Amino acid sequence: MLQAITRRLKREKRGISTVIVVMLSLVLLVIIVGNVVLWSYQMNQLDWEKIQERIDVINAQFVNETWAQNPTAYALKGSTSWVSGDLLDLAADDDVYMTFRSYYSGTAASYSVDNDLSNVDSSSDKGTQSNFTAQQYGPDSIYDTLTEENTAVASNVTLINAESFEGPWPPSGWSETSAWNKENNHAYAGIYSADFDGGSGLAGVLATPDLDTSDSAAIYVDFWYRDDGCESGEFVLQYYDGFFWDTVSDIGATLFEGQWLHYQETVTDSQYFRSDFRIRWSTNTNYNNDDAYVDLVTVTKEAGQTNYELDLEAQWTNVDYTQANEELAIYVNTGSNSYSLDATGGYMLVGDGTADWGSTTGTISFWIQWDTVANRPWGQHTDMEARFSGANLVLDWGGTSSLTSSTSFTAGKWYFIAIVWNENTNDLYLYVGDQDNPPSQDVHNNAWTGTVSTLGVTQNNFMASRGGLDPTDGHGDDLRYWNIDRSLPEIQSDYNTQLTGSETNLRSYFKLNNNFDDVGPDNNDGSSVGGYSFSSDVPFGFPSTENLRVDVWTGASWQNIFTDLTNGWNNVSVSSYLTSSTFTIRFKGSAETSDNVQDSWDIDVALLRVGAGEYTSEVEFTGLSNVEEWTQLEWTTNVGWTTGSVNVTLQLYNFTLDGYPTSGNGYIAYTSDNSPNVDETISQTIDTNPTDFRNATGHWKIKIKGTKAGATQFDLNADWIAIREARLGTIVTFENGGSLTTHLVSLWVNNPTSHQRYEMNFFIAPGETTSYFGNNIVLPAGSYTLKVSTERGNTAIFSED
Amino acid sequence: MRRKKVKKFVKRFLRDKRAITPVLSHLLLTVVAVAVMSLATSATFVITTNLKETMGERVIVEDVWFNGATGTVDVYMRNVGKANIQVSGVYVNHVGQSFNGPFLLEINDHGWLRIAFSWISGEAYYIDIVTTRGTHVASYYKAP
Repeated sequence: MLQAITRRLKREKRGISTVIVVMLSLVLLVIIVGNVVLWSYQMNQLDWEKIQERIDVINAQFVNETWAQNPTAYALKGSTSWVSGDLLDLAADDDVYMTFRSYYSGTAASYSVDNDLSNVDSSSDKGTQSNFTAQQYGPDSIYDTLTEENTAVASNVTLINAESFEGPWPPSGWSETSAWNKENNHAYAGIYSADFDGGSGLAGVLATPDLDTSDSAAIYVDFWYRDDGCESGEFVLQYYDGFFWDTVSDIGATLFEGQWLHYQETVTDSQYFRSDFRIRWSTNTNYNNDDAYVDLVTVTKEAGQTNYELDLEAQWTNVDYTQANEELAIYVNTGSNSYSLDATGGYMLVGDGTADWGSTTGTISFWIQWDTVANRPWGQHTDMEARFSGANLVLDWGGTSSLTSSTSFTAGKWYFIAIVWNENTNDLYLYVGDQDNPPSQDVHNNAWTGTVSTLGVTQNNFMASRGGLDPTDGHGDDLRYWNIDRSLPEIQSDYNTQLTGSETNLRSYFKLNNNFDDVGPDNNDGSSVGGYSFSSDVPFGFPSTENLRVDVWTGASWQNIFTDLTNGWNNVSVSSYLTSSTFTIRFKGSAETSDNVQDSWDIDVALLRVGAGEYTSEVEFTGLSNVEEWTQLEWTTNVGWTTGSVNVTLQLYNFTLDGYPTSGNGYIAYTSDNSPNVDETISQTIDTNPTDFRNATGHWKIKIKGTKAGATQFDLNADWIAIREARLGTIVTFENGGSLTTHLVSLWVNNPTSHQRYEMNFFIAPGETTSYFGNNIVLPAGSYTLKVSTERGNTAIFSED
Repeated sequence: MRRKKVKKFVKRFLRDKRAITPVLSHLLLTVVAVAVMSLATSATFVITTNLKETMGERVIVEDVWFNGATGTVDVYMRNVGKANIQVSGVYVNHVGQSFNGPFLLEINDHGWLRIAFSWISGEAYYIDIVTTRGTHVASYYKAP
């Protein structure tokens, strides 16, 4: 056929122009027709789809929901320190505060204290220091513990004054049995002596009255005795220890019979320092001619007077004293660990017992003092517990006998124990410390193949294991669970310091200060089972009852600059005292007479700051809200400052931007009132993307920061911190009765005075009835018409009268 | 060598008995045919484009507000078609009215068309909006 066409073309006399015209005409014709047909089809399709659409508005309902929260945790920023109050105080504007102390953030030169060797007042030191070097660095939770010294001078008190049995028998308060009597056949002093005449195997005792030796440092016993024929064991001297008569001397065993002998003893054994101490002479199975005599009894006690004092100097020797701003700064840990749990057959239930501490990585630590080294101090599962084998602690951690301590534990001593594990690196550690030594690695298994993260919980117990198995007898304190494997330096940094509970990765924290509260984020408040009490015997951080003063040496005398060092930073200007390169202070107890309580204080660091100063207080509060579709967010702080004109920034964390805003929504900056201690309520309402300020689980964070130049340390008094969310809008319910998916593009809310259009972008599948929440769509009071338009141009109307 | 070749070509051309006229006539005819078809093609493009735009015009009235505050009739229009539109005239009860022209809506665009018309409450009005391509959007609306 192709050949035929070619032949015909060759034979055709008409030119190529005819062919071109014909071909192009055909092409144009096809284009025109095709275009029109296709376009017509497309528009018809559009019209057809519009006809097929069936959208109805079923209902419209105005929604106005609000939620409000207060912080549930806080984190101290910089070196800000907590002073007082707790998170519950932030729930209302009620002048009940949570207080935080600012820290030094200036650029002045710092001079650490140089020595504790000075003696500017020619008065010897009183008290002891545990580690003066600790005062030269920090704050680092490594303390120099200042402990009061007993400076009282002892004096003697006569309890029995030369009793020679001259008066009525027995002397007042004395007691005797059997053949003890007073006789005048032998006497060392006077006419009579106390005499026991033997018979047919007679036995009897002569005892003094109760002697109050409870405040004694020593008891001096002095008497004369005579042994006429007594054998060993037949005439003995005994002391009462509260339970038993202890034989202290077999005075009848003497070879010097028939003569008066002098007995003298100084008793220093504290078991006899009692309010009911007694002395007795006991005769046993004495026969005829086995006679015993006692005369001229004198008992004296060295009165154990106590008066604890502290007077310790600290000195700087090379300080720049030419600057205008000169400040003494001392960081103190006054201690707030008031109680420990004294388990006597009972134990503690962690949460409701189901708290699972079996994470992939973790650290469980606690302080413990065993009364009896036995049983199980902690456990939640047969393969996740600590138990004793002899005096060694065995960890069943993901299996049996995963680790055995090298330390042999003893009773009556506080130990710090930390169990650290990491399933990913196959490491299992046991760290052990005590009151005198920071924790160190006791034993390490670097090929640990156990798994605790999948075990589950039988029952989580402290001072017993898994359901109250083998309760251990002793004191427990400061139980912590972290969901990370803490390093030894991390553990050492806070093992003897009370935490706030909001430290990163700390999940549960039981201070056991007279309660079983879990102040960690897991909030697994515990309870007790069986016998227990709370005891004031604590391993660290016992709060002092006495004020610790600080005086400065003026060159001639001491001048007081702190009446009581409080927890955290204590700052005071010393410009008027720093007049040379040498500067001396002393730590002084506030009760220096008749002080029967030996107090101690932990000094972290002592500094002199010279030059431009600035203080900052910065705290981050976190709370938990919800993941509702908020349309508005209002955050409020009501705080005051103990000094005026503090530069304050308030920030609400923007989780979408992953940071604290520095302007706009989520950021407020102001200068506080000129006067100190003025509470100011500051709030901000956010209508644009309020959900940016929470994370996927509904958590939010507010940071409060106050800064002021100068040498005055100040406190932040947080009275009320709140966040309030609102969901304001209208829920409209649509029904798609057609066979096509419908795209809703606009919503109208009309009444005679207003026609308000809202953009929509909402799809409804065929046959579906679904609700749409319109942010900030407000339905007017009275009658209105609600109208929705589809992308294809259809409209549905809903009316409310 | 090259000079020889040129000489040979000129000699052959001069010896050729056929005339040049038929060649030229074919060429001219081809040029004319192409030009005519180009014009036809352009015309086709213009015609089909206009046709498509006219066919593709779809505009809807989302809302009509007899606005008591301004005394106007406000019509909210949305272009749901495939071509831009421009309103050329507005008729209320078949009487032309002034409006906030020029009123242009691109594809998927929307906005208020404000008609200066003194309406009476309770009355029904036939409002006819005409585009430049002649599309009418018309319906009865009752003033509240």
